[in-house]
Amino acid sequence: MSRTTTDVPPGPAAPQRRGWPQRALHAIDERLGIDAIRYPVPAHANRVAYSLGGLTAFALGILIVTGVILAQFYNPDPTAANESVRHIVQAVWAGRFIRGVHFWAAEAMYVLAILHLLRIYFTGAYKRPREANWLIGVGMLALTIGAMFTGTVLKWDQEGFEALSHNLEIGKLLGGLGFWFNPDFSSGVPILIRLYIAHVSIIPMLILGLLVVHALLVKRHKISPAPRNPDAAGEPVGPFTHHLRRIATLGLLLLGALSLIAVLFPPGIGPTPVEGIEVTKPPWMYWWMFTLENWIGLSGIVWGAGVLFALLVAVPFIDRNPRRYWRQRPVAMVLGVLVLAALIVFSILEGITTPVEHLGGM
Amino acid sequence: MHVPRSLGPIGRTSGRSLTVALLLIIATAVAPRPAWAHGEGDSDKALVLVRQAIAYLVNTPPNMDGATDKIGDAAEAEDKAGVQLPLVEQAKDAMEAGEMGSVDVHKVRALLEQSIGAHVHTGPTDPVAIGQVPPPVTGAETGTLAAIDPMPGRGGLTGGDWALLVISMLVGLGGLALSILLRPHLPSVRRGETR
Repeated sequence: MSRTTTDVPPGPAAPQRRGWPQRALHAIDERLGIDAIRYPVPAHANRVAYSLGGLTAFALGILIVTGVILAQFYNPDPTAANESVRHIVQAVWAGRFIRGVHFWAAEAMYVLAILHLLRIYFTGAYKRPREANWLIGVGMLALTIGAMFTGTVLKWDQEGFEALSHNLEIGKLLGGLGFWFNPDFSSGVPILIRLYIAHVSIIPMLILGLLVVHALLVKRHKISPAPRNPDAAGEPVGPFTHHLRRIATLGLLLLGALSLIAVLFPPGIGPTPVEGIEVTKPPWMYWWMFTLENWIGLSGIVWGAGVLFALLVAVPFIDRNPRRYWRQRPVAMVLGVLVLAALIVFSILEGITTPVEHLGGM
Repeated sequence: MHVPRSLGPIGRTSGRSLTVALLLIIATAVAPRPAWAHGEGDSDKALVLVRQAIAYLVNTPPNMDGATDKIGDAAEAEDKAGVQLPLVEQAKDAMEAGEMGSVDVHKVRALLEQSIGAHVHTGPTDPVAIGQVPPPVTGAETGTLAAIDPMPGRGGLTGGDWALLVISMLVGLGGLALSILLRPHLPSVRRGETR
């Protein structure tokens, strides 16, 4: 394997540093070892498709910053939650904009995470020795969906409450495993407050923890070679910091686009919730599950989500084909496309139907 | 490096204990438990039914069916605590009168709100909840006495919106320019791939 290493920086002892910024950096590096992130990565890592994971993390960063601001004004008490969101939008300086960026960054993070997963799947990057990192990624996707769900409930309007009502009923279906969604689990505390804690603390903490392991494993196993060039023959390499720079510039573009959309299409807020009616549709990313619910009842959500995630977890253990180029993996490609098509068709079906009551007359 | 080929007695005991503990946890977790009280069947409380009728009026304004059913049920509910039934009857009459023409939704909604002690709605900019529920709110209670109107994302663009638009465009264009200027050279990668 031959690699051009001209782009790789020399070790920490070699460079001639001039000026106080370089000296300061050197002093910091000497103590914290940040130069370790300048490990070599192949040039193809800087393609947009290979930067989707980094962009997902960038969207997470936007969510954390805007979320910290929103948390200063949001009140998770059920009697005041909806009102506090209206207050943020109407009375807090730039509140509508910050909430809009938070909302659209969440959508972007979900889409980017899915695209990242698809890129990994279709380039076979989950194969040995990267199975564990695939599983960590699937875990982070599940947590992202959890963050989307809790965020939907937090605005405490009819849509959010109906989403919660579905989960309460699903909690019942799961028996003891659904204990966390049992309001009696902690009967003295409104479930909205527990969901708020999950949204601002438990889920982000888990995502960040897994993100660190994810990044360390990327460094450990290196960014997967291009499928058509598994030996990376003739491909130049560059420092990982160039990859970070690439993500930062694309992230800036993403931030600008999200800000633009936040101004033009800020999210509204629905009526204060009342239990016992079912009149809204869930957010679009859950539509495919609700088509299954329309067909077979509430358990359709459990089975649909369960089967999809079981498949995702099983992928690296089922697919033992060592080849990674898509033309050499017809079975994996057909199955992947079929699952993707099913999810899209189910989503469209839910999108064009009117809301159906599943929770019984409450 | 020495690699132990099997666990010793202590390791085996710990492993079994861990397995038993794990099985116990799973058995406890999946054991059936009584369902908690959350929306089993139609309510027989007039207060709940009136609140649901208002919510239908707010959430599905063109469709009166849901609200009509709930108002009818509220008027005949066994538990009438917390509701001024004469006002509900007036709302029911207003709905039935409207069946011949257009329903005065504002009037019906105002009567229902007054019947449960809520303030009459004033529009999507209602600053606070228009009625107080008795504290404390626990579990999955909503804390809503009477639903207030939805708030749209925005109206027309204000001066601040235009400023934010310009800044957003500058940030986006900056990102685009930098991503082009600092774009890595990839041709050699493609050459490498086609080998």
